[in-house]
Amino acid sequence: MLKLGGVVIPMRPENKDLCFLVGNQELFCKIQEVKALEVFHPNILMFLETLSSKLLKDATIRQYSDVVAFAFWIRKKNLEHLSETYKNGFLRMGRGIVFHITPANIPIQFAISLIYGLLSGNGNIVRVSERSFEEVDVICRAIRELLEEERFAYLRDYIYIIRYGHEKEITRQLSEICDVRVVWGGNATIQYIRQFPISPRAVEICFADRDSFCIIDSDRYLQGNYQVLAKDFYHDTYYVDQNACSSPHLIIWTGKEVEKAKQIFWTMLKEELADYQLPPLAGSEKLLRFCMLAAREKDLSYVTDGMELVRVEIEYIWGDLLDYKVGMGYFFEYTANELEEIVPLLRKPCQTVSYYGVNPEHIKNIIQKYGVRGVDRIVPMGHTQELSLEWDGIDVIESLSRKVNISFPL
Amino acid sequence: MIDDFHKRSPYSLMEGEKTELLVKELKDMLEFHSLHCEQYGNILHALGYDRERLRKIRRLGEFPFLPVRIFKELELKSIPDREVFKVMKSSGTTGQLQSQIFLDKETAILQQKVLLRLLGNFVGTKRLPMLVIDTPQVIRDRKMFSARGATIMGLDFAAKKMVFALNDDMSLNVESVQEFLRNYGKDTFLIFGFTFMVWQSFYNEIEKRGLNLDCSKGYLLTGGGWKKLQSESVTPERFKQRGRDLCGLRRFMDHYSMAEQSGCIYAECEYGHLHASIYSDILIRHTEDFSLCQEGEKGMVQVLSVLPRSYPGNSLLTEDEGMIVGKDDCPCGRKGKYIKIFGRIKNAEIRGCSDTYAAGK
Repeated sequence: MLKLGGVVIPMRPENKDLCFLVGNQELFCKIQEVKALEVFHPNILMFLETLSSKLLKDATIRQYSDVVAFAFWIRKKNLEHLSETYKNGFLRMGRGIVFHITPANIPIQFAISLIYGLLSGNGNIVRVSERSFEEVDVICRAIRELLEEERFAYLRDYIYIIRYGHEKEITRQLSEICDVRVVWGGNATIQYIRQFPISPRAVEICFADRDSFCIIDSDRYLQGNYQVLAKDFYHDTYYVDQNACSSPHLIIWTGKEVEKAKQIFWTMLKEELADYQLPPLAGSEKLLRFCMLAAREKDLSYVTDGMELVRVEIEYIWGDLLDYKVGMGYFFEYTANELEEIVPLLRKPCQTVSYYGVNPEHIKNIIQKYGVRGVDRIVPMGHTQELSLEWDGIDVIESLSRKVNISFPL
Repeated sequence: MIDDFHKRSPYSLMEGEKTELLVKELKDMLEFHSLHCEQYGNILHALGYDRERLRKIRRLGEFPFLPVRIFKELELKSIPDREVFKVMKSSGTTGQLQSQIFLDKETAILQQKVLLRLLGNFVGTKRLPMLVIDTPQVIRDRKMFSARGATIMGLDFAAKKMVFALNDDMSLNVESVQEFLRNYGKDTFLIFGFTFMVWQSFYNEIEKRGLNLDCSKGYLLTGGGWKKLQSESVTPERFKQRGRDLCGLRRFMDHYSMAEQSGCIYAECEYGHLHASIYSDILIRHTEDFSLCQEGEKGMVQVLSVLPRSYPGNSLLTEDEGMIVGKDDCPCGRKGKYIKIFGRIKNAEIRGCSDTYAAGK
């Protein structure tokens, strides 16, 4: 039996339900006692700086550009730069313990979530999925080795990375003891996790299923560097099987030379796909989703040569269009006369609008003018996966910490 | 006309002649469905198949195809509601969507007729007594047809007498089986079951109870259930050997079929080949671009059948992996293609921000 603050987690030695990738059961018992830290605590920044160099020295990570990007992102210089926003004279402290439930299919996400928890001054319990990824192993190993060093001993209580199956009991108890629960979607997972109550003072941040689209001005595109733009677009889409929340599923074309731009754009993209491994059933999934849509909507046309790139040209836009998204290289395309035609798309699930050759101010103006409920980010094409301390319009540092208001007598 | 098919022996046509007959009938069927099933008409239109293009088709490979899973997502039928005679549902595992296939009387009868003709070609046209390795419960509720029930009901028509070998709790009804063998075991008879159930509820029980059953005059017809057996590392060879050892079975006949194209089974001959009859055909496609595979090349199975009259299921892309082994030259003498099926294509894991927990848990 493991005593966890007031809560008892039944853990028999032979029970492999809970497996520690970082941390151990003995330490875990003390997690309730962990001290809240100030946000962007120098000790945390120093640790992350060391983790960064350790990762960047590891040859095995070179094949994982997401791990490389992560390692660069957590460098002290960058984090100090990011911390500027929060230096406004107030005291900000961690809330206590953050219980992170991280996604199965974006390996790096658990680490990003952990960084959020650390930078905002909390102790962290990070559940990673049962699926194994080398990215996860590499990062966990590096953290483990650093924590073994005496100079980082003070951080041992702050990082627990665990793996367990669908044991409700563990989820229930960790939910009870945490001060913040962070659930990375999808919607079904959020619904599932919601059955386990968190304590009255605890808060929860959930990242639900979202969708995204891209606006490209054809005239500006034709003046651009086709190859660079193809790589940018590839990075936003195929690099994550077009399955990240920020991956565009619809291209809105503006400008006068749309047909010409389209032709070049897709030809160039196709060249980038030489090494893309299409999952075996992706083709039939795309055909299925297309047929389902075609059964009810007229005026669609299906453009494909090879199932790794399927385009569906549409003649009009409707609100739930992106419910028919597929991923793995399936794009709706629409030619707009007016940018305002995008308004129906800006409903709640809409997360990222990426753009090329379009003034983002115009998109911003539309959001203000129409009071739409969606859109959290407007970013240039190629930057949809960029790491940030904001997610889905939420400032995670603020959400995972508390502001201490101090008044002095007048 | 479907009668052009009935007039011929079901495995009598060589590739060229068969294709000509099939293409003609399929063109008519697709045009019929596109006019009578609005959703199907819309789909063909969006895929770029107007009437002109359909009429110009000369090869089987040119027909448009629907992914078979579409019957789980949409209710597709080419008949008015009042003509729906029965709705067949696939046996999806719990929690999954089920296929819904709408049959009118004509299609239902046609499916049974063809099934009988095809089976007859293997086991003789005489109706035979049949021992079903299943529980009678599976066909009791006739309104809710499962594929398992539907297959058995389809066979009922072909059987002189049908006896169920299992009790409702899936235990072996020893008395029934012994009585069946006493009455019919001296002449040719049929045993039908899904491989997994034969393995578990028949073979295992015979062994456990040390029963002495003589099935040497029987044909064991099996269909599906290999995936479950595979997970227990049981190969078809081991399956057959155990049948020989335990109850003297000598003749085995597996088949490939699906609820979405009932009637057109691909039955196994004595050389272990699954044969396409004149009523249907198989194409194999590459998963990357849906182009046609060569003979001997593995790929995704497309099935074409002239039987579906009440729903647009004549040309379907399955998610099974298969291969054309040869055509017109099987030593058993049957013409047309003979194939091998390897089971469902495994999907690769994809990246993305979807589920942490995998929904449904």
